[in-house]
Amino acid sequence: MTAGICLYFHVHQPMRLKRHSVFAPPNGGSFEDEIFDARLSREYFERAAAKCYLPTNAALLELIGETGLKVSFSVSGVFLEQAMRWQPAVVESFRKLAQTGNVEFVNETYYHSLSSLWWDKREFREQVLMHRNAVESLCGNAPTAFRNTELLYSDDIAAEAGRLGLGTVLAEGADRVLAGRSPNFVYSAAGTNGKVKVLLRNYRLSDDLGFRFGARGWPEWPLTADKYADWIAASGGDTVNLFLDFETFGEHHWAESGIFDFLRRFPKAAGERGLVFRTISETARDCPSAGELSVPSVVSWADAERDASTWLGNRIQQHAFSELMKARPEADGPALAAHRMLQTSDHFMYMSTKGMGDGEVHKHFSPYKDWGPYENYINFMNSLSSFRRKAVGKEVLVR
Amino acid sequence: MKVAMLGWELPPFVSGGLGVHCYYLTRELAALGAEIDFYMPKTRLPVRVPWMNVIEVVPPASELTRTVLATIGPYSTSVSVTGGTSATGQLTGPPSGFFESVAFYNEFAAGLVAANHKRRHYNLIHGHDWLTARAAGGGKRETGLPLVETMHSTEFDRTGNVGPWEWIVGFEREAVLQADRVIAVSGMLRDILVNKLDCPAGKVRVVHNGVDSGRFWPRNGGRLGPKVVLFHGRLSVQKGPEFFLRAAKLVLEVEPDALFVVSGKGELLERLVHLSIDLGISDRVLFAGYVPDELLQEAYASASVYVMPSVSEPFGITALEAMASGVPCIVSKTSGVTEVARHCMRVDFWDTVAMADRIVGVLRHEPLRRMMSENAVVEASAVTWRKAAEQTMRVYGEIA
Repeated sequence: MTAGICLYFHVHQPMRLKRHSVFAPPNGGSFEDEIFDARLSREYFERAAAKCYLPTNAALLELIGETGLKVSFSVSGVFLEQAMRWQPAVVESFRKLAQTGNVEFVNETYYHSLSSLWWDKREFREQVLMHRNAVESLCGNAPTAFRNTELLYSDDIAAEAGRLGLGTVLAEGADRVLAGRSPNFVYSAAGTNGKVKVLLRNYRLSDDLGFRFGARGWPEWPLTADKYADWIAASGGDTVNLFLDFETFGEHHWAESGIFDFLRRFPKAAGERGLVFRTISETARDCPSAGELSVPSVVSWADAERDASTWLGNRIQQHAFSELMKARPEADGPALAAHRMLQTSDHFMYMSTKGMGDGEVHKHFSPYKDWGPYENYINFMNSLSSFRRKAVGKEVLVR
Repeated sequence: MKVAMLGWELPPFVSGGLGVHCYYLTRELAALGAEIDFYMPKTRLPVRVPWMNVIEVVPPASELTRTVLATIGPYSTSVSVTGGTSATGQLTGPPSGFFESVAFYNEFAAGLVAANHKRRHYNLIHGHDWLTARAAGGGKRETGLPLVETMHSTEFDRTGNVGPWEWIVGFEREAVLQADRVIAVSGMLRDILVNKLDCPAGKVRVVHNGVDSGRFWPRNGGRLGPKVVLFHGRLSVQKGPEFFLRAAKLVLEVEPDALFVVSGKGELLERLVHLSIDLGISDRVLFAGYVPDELLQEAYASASVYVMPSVSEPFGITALEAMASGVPCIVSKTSGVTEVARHCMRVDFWDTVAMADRIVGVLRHEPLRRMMSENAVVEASAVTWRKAAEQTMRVYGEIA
């Protein structure tokens, strides 16, 4: 079969927490306004929209028209909410991409949450279904593939997705998962009787673009689209799965780095080497299964460890998460919505205490530059305590 | 490597980081093969340090010198030493005899270094802070030896930038200008030396202080109760004890059974006692006075959290001691220790609301306490005096 490229972008922005002191208690307002900083979140969103979302989507739309490029996206529900509030043009640009028929939107948890790691899977299922509705109203079709938050994946999570009717799941092509096999094939998830296919991220080639593209100290710098296409063509297998943070374009690598020139040239460079582009579901449909893949413990695409330790690796992260999940309101409503926004994985990443190398990455994303993991934990716990107080005050049932 | 080192104090009589620094640094330098003659003013009790030759300098008798020398130290500031005042009540300068005494001591010490050099054949002179600047400079001129000056703080830090004594600033400027190499105890201090004392950046080397984890390690809690918040340091403007009490007031609103321990002595004691009364928290504040070395570990063991709210702290060894003792630390952003310690929380010294918020966070959340404690111990154990001595030896190697 013709070797293909599966290009997938992850699109997400968390709602940032307010600086929440015990001594400056929230002053009324809605659950969301009390806990989350709309002004700050909007700033982040609008900057990323101007630098990344709008120009990249415009470029992709052109490229689809010119070359028949195919791409896939996951767009978190919290992202869509912010886009609708502050930058409807961003929603529109995704809708236009959907209308080309060359773009697939996949399912994830609405709140980009860690709910898949909580023992009770009801919350996870509800969020996946919420997101399914959001995708459907964005592009008109119900999604058939699934990517979990930060590519968190295990046999259990794949089976859970299968039960929700999702036939394809994305995962990190971590060395320990592959045990010598190539990530460039489609596999079947263990324990699903071949009903769930797994697409594995080719992390070397993905990170060449996502992390190393702008690194002047890298021997391969500057990375041209043609050189990159050569590497892909030489990489073997049925499909090279390039799973990237959408903000690779314009945010992690600024326009000045030449990343947009790279993007504009890439589809043609790939085509000249006989490579075809496939969406996630097309890849799962067209490529035969190369066997069963068993992943008993959780993998993800984050940090060197490639597991859940970025979010739940230390004691304060685990404590914050379990305290949060224990405070989940039973009834639907603004309290539950705010609670779910607190489940967003980013808040837990800010509490990571991992060593220098990775620690720098976390610092880069944390909204409060003068805070470390401990301050972020205290702020989260203060927010949670306000949430709890208010939920009880409003007589919202708290488990 | 033979070194003539000019210091001011050694344990057991120390008034701050300078004495602690000299003690441990020389111990590790000696272990690395340095032969040190350590010059310091004579104290009441003899100083016994086995790894070097302590030369207690006794200038020829002069009543004036002896009484004044006894009252000054490396942390003398315009507040602690009562000087002359102008008609408007402003401090105009040192007390009579202060300047003369320091000058007299330094001149004598310089002569002594030069005389000893004839038979000891030093490779270099190493001075500490402003008090010995004249002796170091004099020694250099008389012997032609290269000179290293370690700066531990500046007058700007010690006065919290309020009314620095130009007289002392002059000594500090002289110290850094005359030296062939200047050692700053942090990057933060290096910037002050370069920006405020016109020290050429090219000759400054940063050597962070260490902590002796043989002396400080985690112990079981003390006897003061479960929620003890500790301040330990000189009660001076530089150390920010007032911010500690103002944060305490806030903490007690939500954690009424917390206990605040103020350890140390200094010119602000009376003001602080009054402040605790005015704030209505005097029953929850314990003024411990001067805590001697052997009780210091007990103090750390009692603490649930250590706060160092310094206005300007070039390093802050006590934070490392607390960390080595397994106590979660909250330190001001204007402290050099954060250059080597990441497992602590940083606040602006004036931001008592944030300070109180962090204190409450530590008191309330056991997982946070445990994690900060464990990480602090590991981190502090890597910040050693041996490392500081190795870096100091490299600086010696650059010029001698």
